[in-house]
Amino acid sequence: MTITLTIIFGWLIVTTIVGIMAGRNRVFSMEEYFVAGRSFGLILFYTTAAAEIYSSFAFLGLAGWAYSRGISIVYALAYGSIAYSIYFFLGPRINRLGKTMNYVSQPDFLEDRYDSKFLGVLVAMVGVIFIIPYLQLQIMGSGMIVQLASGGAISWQTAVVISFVAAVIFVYISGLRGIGWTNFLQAIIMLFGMISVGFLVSKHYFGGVQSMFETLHQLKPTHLTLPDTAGNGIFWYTSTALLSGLGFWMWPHIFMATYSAKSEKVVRRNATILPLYQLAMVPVIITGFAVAAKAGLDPAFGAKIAKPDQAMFVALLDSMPGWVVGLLGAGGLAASISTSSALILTAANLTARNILQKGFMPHMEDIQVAKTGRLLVPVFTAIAVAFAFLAPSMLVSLLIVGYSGITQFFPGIILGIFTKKPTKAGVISGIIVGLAALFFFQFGGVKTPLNLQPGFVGLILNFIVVIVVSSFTKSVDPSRLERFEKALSMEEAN
Amino acid sequence: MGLTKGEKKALIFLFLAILGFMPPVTVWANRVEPYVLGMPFLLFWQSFMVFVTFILMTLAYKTKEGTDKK
Repeated sequence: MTITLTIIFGWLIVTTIVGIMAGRNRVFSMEEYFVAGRSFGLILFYTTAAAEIYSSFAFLGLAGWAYSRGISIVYALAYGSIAYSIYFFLGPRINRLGKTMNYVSQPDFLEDRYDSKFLGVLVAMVGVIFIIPYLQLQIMGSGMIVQLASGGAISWQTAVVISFVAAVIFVYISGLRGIGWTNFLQAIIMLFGMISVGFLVSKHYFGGVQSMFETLHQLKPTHLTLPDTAGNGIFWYTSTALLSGLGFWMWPHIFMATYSAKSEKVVRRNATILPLYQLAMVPVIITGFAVAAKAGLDPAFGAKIAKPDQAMFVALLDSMPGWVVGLLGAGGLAASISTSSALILTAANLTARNILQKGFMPHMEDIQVAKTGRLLVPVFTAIAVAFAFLAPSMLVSLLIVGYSGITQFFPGIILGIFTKKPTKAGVISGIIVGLAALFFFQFGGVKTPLNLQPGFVGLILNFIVVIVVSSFTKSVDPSRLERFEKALSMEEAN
Repeated sequence: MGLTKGEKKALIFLFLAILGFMPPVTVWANRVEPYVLGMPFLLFWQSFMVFVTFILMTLAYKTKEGTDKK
């Protein structure tokens, strides 16, 4: 076994052991299993959030995008700032509502706020439908990283099976607490990998970052300004950054993680330091550009990159010693597994809590919800792995609209937290219209005006529908509104 | 259900953070030269704004906590 693989699998074993240990001596309950007993302090909450947010995209996708399409990748730097600014106001309130009303999932809030079982089940189902392809993507990403890092010695399917048996073990045993502790480790190695890679590759091929960019600018004049090589211009950039920034906290797993912080202050403080982690994306983006410049100079090198997502690891294998590739491979695998484990737990939670218990079996006790959720952990993993192996492209179209899809929860959540106006009928019809518009513009063959993102158009229509329909439909029961108003205006506990 | 007094004061910092990433600022920053820290200007500007966002959010946090504690 090579040094590269020893590092990657050594890391995987350490992670799994930490994940298993995290859950020892804890009393098994629904709150413990899904939201770690609402106990995470700043460090654990920060690394959990960072590791869940930065998926295998942070290693493969960022570099691949910069390599193949160009500078429009900076939308990824912009949307984080928008997302964290919103979280500054939204996050502490989500955390507080979770604590006062005992929520453990995203639909828990919507169902209670609008007094609608239907809305809860709808949001849970939409959530699961978009989580599966996202999970499948992470699974394939982790397989690709190990396969590339091993120089093809290990097939991606073998890598997937090993990695996801490990993930299922610690998620099954320790729930979110296991994810939190493994994410602590994952965040450290991801950070290390992302920062070191950028300077290494440019320096190796071009002697420095600026000379690399100057070479690239000569070879591909469209690559470094908007609109870039892919034709993505200012309108595309702005609407994509806004859409992603607004939709960010609507991902069910990230929303659910907010419940796990022990106080509102931890959530708010976390919002202020999340941008720092985002800086680690810059060196990865630089690496993507370095690969584009190298491939422009040396077509034989370029020919080795079968897909843009492979760009970074092809360059690493070409230029770096085995132990560096091993550490970066471990970082990439960490990014993928940390996001996957949260997705798996969330899909299990949404199904057990919101579809089964709240939707159809009101007599199910909370402890049974936790037990059912735990049993669903291997089930959802197996489903996503099966898609990855047997029909890898079947869910691609769902993946394209995943982000835009979950963003359609935004109006119901934000208006439901900050205002009293929206009604059950308004929010439900808004989500349905938003999703319909999204699918229509994405797949219906009709272009959106100004090349705006289809999901962005859906979101605007969604807002309009919520406001209009809410103006003439039955408003939420005053005693229910009062309960929310009271919870939201409470003195903050320190 | 609205924002607290401290949060209202903090809004300005977060507004500035978002503004730095939006047109017309992006239109102005959309150029290759000058190179800063080895990066073409647009990439530098976006990275720089991420760091500025961190500073602005820290100010927002201090403002919020300071105002609402009283």
